[in-house]
Amino acid sequence: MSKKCDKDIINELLDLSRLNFTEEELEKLCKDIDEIRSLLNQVSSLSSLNVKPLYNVWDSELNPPYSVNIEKVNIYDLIPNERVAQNKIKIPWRGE
Amino acid sequence: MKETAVSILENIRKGSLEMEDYVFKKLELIRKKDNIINAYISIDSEDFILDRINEIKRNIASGKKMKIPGLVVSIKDNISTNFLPTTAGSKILENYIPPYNATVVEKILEEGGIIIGKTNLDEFAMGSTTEFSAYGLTRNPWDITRVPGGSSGGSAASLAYGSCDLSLGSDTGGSIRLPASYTATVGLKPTYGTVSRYGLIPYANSLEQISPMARSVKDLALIWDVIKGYDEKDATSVNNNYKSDNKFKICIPKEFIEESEPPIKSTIYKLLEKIENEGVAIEYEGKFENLKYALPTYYTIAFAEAASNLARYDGKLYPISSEGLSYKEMSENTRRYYFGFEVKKRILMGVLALSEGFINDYYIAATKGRRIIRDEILNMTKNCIVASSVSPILPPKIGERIKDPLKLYAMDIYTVVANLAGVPALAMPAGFYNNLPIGIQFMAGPFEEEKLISLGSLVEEITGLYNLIAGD
Amino acid sequence: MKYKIGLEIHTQLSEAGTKLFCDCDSNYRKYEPNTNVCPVCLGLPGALPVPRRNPLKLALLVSKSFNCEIPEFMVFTRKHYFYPDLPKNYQITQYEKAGGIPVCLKGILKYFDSDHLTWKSVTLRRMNIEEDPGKTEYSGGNILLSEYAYLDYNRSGVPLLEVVTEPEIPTPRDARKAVEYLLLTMEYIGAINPRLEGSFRVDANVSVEGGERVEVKNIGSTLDLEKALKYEIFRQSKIVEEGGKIKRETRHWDSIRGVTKPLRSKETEEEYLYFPDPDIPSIKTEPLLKEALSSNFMTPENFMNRITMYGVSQRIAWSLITVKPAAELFLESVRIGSDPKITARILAIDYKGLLKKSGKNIYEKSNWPNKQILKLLSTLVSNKLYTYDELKYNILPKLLENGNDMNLVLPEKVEPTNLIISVINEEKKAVEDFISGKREALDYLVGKVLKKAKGKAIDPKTIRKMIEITLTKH
Repeated sequence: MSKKCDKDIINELLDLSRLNFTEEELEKLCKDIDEIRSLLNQVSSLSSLNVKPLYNVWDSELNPPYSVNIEKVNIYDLIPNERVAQNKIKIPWRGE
Repeated sequence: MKETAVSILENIRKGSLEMEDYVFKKLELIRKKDNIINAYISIDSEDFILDRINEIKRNIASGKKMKIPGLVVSIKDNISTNFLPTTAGSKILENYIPPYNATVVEKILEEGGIIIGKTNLDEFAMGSTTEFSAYGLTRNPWDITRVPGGSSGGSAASLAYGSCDLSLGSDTGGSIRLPASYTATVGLKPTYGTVSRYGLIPYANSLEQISPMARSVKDLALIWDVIKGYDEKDATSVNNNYKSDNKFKICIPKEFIEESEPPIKSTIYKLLEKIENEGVAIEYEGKFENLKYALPTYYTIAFAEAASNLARYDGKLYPISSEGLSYKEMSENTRRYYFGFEVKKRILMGVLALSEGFINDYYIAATKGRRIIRDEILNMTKNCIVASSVSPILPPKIGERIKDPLKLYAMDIYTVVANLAGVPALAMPAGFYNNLPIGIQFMAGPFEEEKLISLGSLVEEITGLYNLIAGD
Repeated sequence: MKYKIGLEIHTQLSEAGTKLFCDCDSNYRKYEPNTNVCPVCLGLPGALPVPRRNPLKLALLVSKSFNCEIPEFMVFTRKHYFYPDLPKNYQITQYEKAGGIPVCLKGILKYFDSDHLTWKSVTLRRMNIEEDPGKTEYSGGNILLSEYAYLDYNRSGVPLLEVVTEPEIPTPRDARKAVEYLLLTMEYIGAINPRLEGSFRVDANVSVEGGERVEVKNIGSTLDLEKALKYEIFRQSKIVEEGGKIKRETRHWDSIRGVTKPLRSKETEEEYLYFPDPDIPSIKTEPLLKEALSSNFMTPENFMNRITMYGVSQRIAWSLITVKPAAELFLESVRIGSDPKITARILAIDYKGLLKKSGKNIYEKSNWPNKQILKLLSTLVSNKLYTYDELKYNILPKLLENGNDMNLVLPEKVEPTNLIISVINEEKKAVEDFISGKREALDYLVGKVLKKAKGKAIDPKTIRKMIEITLTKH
């Protein structure tokens, strides 16, 4: 894989993750990402391995319960009251 | 003879130690030292502690049996408490007081522990030095120009300078073992699923466990006994009564020690010799074929899970929220200004690893790598306990490692394996070099925590390195 | 012009009792905003989703009812996108292309076409169970212009079953019938209440020959589904006939104006970063299904077979089946000896009509007479104590009026001849009108006779006939 920071990829990643950086940070980011990708690229050779992916370390199974007894939350304890209107959480919107 | 959690507990039970005096002495120490060490993000008020002590006394008077009444516990600030803010070391969760307690917190309260404060960590536990906290870095009490390791550096430091008896950290890829080895404390990363994660702010769910820390293996056994066990609130919790025997053999895959710095290598080999002299069989011929895949496999999975877990911090449900004309703007600004650089970087890498064009080469490849690593480790730990270095290097100077991501990530090479394989691993003091602590790691088969604790107790008898407090 | 229709139906398992991953109430409508919430459905850091048994059992029953291939395990995946109503900014679902395994892989939705009284079927591609997001309200109700949005998470985490068909439904009418049958089946299973506002949403995709696939989102009723599809087929056909091209896009159904409007053109697949949820181990389906099947449930098709076995016509049987308490009552009372045809007629037509007219909820079992009363009513007719019309006009309305209390309603029978003679004597003008050919006068005379009978059992049709005969002889 090329060692050059791919701006198109970075921009797409920023968009998907709703993140942003300053220009200065972006420069460091590019360098770091290239380095980190050189590390991650070392697993790519395993993609063709004929083994089942391991998502849960014990390959375990769950026997689902009917209920578990989790306590309710009072929204006013969680969110600053000026951001709650008639029990609803108020956020800016304007179509997006 | 120094005080141990075990001896304190005895004195409290006998009535020869006043809880108030004891806890207030700890508070005093924190006031004196923590402005330099910065092990804590938040501390209980005296009133809160007095109320808590009275509650414990009432429980004692009413005959309630408790496992750790009066012992002082510090808790990593990514474990939810409804009485103290829980920030995960991030600005984005500043002032967030969870409306509920983590299961382990409920258990500690139930058994009479006094939770004195919340300890510092790398933001969202993403780091190996505790320098990435939004609340300032934590210093190593053994040498304040050096890092205490991470991400549970606050927990390790809080023990190392004597501000508490027991501590809880979390271990995603070595986050309690690295700090234990850098601060001459003890940490046990339990088998995946043996401690409930309910209430642990997630970094990488499939890898991490809340993990106990202490200044000796015997003290550690106290808190391990409190926090372990099945929890129906965590679907990955395991209901297991496995009892391990105490017959052990140690094996050493060379790859697990050889790449370490010379003083570490020699300290560990010397200790192993002493252990062998005590009649423990040691096999030096072990091999670990897939070690080369461990770091990339670990980081790929950790990044992917992290990117997903951290999507929720967008300003709508927590106290911190940026201005913005639209939701999009608000969420972008909140994430831009309140996440640290390292966290943002890891989120980006995770999104990359999961995106359509890359998922096969990164995330899926890593989950396959994880299976072969797990199987190799399960096989290896079937017959013996694997001994190794905890860290390939001595505690680094502040600022030394964090500039270069690969150097930073390389610190975890020996520890990530236990998380990938789900097996338990104990880190404990092996010796000192130029007054800097060096640790040793023992990794056993699944659910063999008791075996590790027995071996650890034997080893601390051999070394005499336990209940060490920096500056004493 | 040829066209193809495929559907994605999202139904809320509102009757599951719990949400999908926590203990909050699946029936969230009765709560003040944000009071049916807990750490799990608010997605608070550290809270963990633990799949609950009931929603999964219900989803498996639905799968079983439509002959699905049920995989050995279910696996949940995370689907990521930023939206205010999604607390974690990912939704837990079962996407099969990213390591997920849904509750049903392939099935057959066999449905009843009540227009033609035949069974038809459409292939199901899959069904998956997932969490519903919360609700977003916009100030002024305008999603585009509103300055603020207001979030209520009471709905967050309510189990949703997504049912996806192959694009092979022949007509908009069939799409409607298929969805209605699906909803009815889920109601019979005890999974949903299709009459709750917003309890299901349909996304339909339509492609006319030579054009690309157009998806129509946000269809909230089966009537709208038929309308939206008709509109869309008309719109697309017209474009093609005029030589235009149909591009792939997503449109929105505006139910007030009755048109579809463009939402966005879909050039590339969206990026959702799917992967298996590491907090949720896989779930074995067999034990859950076994447990679910042990509570004997019947599908509408089972009911149809049983009811028609008693000689009731398919049309009347269907009319019973569309109202679950009526279908159940029918079988219950026939089992204790009610006459099937009379009972079916009472339930499917006359008592149902009375209930509707009086504004009572026909889906509420307590509004219907019990099986013993039904047996008594049917016996009155089958033993010729009353004619069916006497029952219909005199007894059923009283029964309804008296809250299904049978003691008060059985009227005396009267011999109508004397009443008719006295009315004919008194109403000279009306009699003359009738004889001179004014048919309305007959209605008037019948009314007078009924009035004289003062609520005693009397059959208006018989009276009519008797007056007619008497006056024609005259």
